[in-house]
Amino acid sequence: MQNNQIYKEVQYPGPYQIAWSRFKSDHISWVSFCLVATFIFVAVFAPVIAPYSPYAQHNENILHPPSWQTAGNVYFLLGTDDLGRDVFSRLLHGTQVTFGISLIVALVAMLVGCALGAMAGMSRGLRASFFNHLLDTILSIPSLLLAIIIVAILGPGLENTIWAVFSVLIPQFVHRTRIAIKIELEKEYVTAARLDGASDFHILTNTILPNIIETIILQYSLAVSAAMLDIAALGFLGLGAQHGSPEWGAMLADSIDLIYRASWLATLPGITMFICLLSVHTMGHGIRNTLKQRSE
Amino acid sequence: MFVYLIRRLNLLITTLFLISLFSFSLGHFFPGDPVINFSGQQSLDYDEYEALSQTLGMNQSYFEQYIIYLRRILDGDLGLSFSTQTPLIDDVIRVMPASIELSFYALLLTLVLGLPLGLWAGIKQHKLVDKIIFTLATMANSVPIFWSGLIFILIFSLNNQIFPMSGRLNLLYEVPSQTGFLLMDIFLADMPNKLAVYQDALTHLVLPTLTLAILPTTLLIGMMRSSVVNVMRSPYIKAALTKGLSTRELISRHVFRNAIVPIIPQFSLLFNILMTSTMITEIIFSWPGIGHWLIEAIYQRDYPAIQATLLLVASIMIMITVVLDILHMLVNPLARQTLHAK
Repeated sequence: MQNNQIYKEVQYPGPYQIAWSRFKSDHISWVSFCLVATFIFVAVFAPVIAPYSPYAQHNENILHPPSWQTAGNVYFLLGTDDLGRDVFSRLLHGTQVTFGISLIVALVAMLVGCALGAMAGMSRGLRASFFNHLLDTILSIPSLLLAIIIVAILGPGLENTIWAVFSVLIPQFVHRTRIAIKIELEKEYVTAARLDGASDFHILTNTILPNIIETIILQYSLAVSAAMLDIAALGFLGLGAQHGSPEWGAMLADSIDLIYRASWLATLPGITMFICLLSVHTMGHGIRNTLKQRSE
Repeated sequence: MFVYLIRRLNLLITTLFLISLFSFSLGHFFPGDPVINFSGQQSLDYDEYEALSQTLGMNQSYFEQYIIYLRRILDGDLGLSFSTQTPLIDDVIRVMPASIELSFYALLLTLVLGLPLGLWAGIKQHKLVDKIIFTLATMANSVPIFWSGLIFILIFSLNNQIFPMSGRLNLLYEVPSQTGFLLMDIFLADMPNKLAVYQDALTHLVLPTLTLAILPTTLLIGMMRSSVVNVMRSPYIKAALTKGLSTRELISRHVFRNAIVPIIPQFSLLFNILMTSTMITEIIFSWPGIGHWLIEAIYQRDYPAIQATLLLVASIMIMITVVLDILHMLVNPLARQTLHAK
């Protein structure tokens, strides 16, 4: 490219930089990105930020409403529950449990699922067809039901919930990756690469993968929210995290008995979870849209 | 068409085979003795145990055990429940109608709300209406269902006593169960105060149906909207506009029909979500359906019941998927064409 500035080095933004600046210029995506970043920050540093331990019981301060109400106490920002535990600290630690674990579980499931999906997508014939049927079977079972069954085999508890959610997420990644690779394989640029003598592995990593990354990212954001919902739902049903643990679903389940007397115990975890889910959703869609524009 | 039917049937049979295989292996995976897990009989003396083990083929190979298991399922023998020691098939027949009834009304509400709203948003793409509908749908999509149920109870039952909190009917009324579908039973029952009973049953239905319908509705709005947007871009819409069709005619003749056909296969996703949500909704509102029953079974470690539910629910899901696929093929000539081209 011609330019007259000889001494100054001119940088031309790469495709990912363009996508990033486009992502930043979309307000909704940017706000949701900031929210997700905040949640990640809270998930990592919850023990440092939280004013109290999530299990510390303050016996003189039982069932305080949130501090903006007249009966509230400013030392307990979002009130306390029936055992005098600080709701704010519990919510912060809950971010670590529900959101943090979901992020990690979805990440590992993505790595495993995409590897399997790539294998399935590149293979043809009987093996592929068998794989297809197996996937259809697993995907026909509602994910929460499958997670419940796995928890029933392994026994209740947070650790087993994580395994259950992990094994439920993998087939979805495999399915998405496989379909995306199948679609890309039929396009001409892949044939061109093949004519150039590229091996299957080279085609997969250098040609196809950059073009299906948006599908995988969208699926990752969906997987994070699905994992959160499943972990919380199992906690709510009493099959996941134990009662009394600061997991959001378990907190909601604990609040049922007191819902009339202390409604903030039910509303606050729900609102936190709602904001978290919403920002994950919108951020996933924002990233996908900008990456899509990049390829167009 | 015939080839397609054969292919779908093949998929159906293979998948059902795999599901039954999975369900069979659960009997061995669950903690405890497989003989007890498969039969559900808990109080056995030594001779009975031996006889049962013989009939279930426990000392034979896994393959033969599986054949025996399959034959038992096809005869409708799902074993006994651990907790009540009654045949599971009776339990399932007892609880299933309540779930079907609730899901049916929720599905109806979903269709009534989701299709028109999605259509409206799709036609007015990038206008204010579209933005409002789409934003609301995205937001409602992120509300966890167990929370929305609690909030509904808090607002509508506890703070303003408009709707009852739980159950299907006030305990005052006793409706003999004939079909299991409550509204039908009331119709069949010989009662003096039918209207009051109907009113009571309907007020009990409102909150669970609303809770259950939120998630599928938002999904349907999203699907319908993108489908309508695709249709609106196509040349035949332009042709119809130049021909001078009014908006109403355009929508009813061209847009609606062409938009709904491609999303028929996606309806199986809707059913999937509905099934999952039904379980949680039933727990929140103490609705005596299959989800409530399953969770109770898990609390009591009732392994035969869990196994049976998995088998039934997964089979129903895969059947719905296949039926929707075939329906799509029947109403959509374009899909048939691509099939023949292959």
